[in-house]
Amino acid sequence: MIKFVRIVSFLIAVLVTVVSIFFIDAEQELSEAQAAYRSGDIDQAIRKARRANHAFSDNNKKTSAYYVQAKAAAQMNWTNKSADYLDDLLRLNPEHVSGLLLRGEIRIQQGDNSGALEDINKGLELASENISGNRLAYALSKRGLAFLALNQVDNAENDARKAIQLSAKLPEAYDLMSRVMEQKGDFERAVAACDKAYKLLLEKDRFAMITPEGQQLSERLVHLKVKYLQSK
Amino acid sequence: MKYKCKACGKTIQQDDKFCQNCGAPQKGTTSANTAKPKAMPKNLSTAPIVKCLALAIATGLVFGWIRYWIGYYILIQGVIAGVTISWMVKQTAGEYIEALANIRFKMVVLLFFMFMIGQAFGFGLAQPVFDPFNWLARVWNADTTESVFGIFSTAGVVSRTFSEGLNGGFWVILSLIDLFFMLFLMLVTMPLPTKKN
Repeated sequence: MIKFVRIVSFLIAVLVTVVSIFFIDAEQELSEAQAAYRSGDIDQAIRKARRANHAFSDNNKKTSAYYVQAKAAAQMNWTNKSADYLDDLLRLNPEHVSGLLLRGEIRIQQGDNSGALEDINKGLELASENISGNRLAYALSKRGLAFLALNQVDNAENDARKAIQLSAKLPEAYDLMSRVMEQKGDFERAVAACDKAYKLLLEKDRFAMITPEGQQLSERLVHLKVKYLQSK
Repeated sequence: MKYKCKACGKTIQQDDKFCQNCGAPQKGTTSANTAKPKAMPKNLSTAPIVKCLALAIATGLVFGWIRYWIGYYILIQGVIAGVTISWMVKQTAGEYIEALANIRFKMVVLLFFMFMIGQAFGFGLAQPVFDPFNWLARVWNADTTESVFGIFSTAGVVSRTFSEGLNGGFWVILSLIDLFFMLFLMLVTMPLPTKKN
């Protein structure tokens, strides 16, 4: 009897496992992945998006899953993995605007600034007028960073100005402006722009000082203030 | 088959308790034709132990991989892994089974730890970037959750509370229950020694 119960339990367990591996509601998995990403559970966002990706057969839907995977991987600082997901996404749909803009951002982190410019320019060209002011401002802030890394300071300054004009409350735009001013040797304006960026970040999230972005900005602010005092 | 008295060497019957000739008690009479010696359990060597531990690691790898993709499947893992590992030990041990049965408890603990190591690696290999130990820290710190397989089949408060998954201390407690269950199953399904030492 005990042997029988043991065999039955074992078979049920195997059956349950097999059923759960092969029967996935891809749509539900993807919406759960997006919800997990919004709630900050990045591990689950990647896992569920990957599950959805395996289950989808439609390429359009696969791109949505890849995009969530790439965003989540970037959030985890798995830059190379995020770039891989974006490569897969853009192989399926080379005109995916969000994918192009995100890959541009990732390429800046990887130090491939020319590639980043290529992606962001293509993304902005494809988006033309179907892009919100905030999103455009964010993309310009990132493109400005690539320009700056390639020593194209004037182009970077133009992007910073346009970004601030489009979204006056975007910390990234002021951060770019402070970097441009630092490059130009105008430390007073660099400090003012960086200070503004930090305050805007705290306005967006009052606990931002303990996030990596907040810590990075506050360290930059101190560094710029020291440079400003030394230049006086 | 003829049997001989151990004392005087005269022929006796197999069931005789005493020799009809000299009266010597007969315990375990020996055959006139050379009786086959009883098969003795082989002394344990490293090879079967290593083989069993490798199997436990391989099982752990598979379970870790599955656990990443379908989530935490309370008790089911205990049932399948516990029974499978013991079964594989029985199949692998062969002539060493008696020797392994004599160190059953130590063997189960070793197999259990090898399974856990395998599981961590299996989980890590299924992740996009190998990161099982940081993942454990994130679950403990409630930065992420682990899906509970089958939670959708429950209803009411349980389903509402844990539909997003488990983390923190509660996850640790449930995992421990599952692991104890698995350990118990391994202990009761491992081969028992046939004679007491």
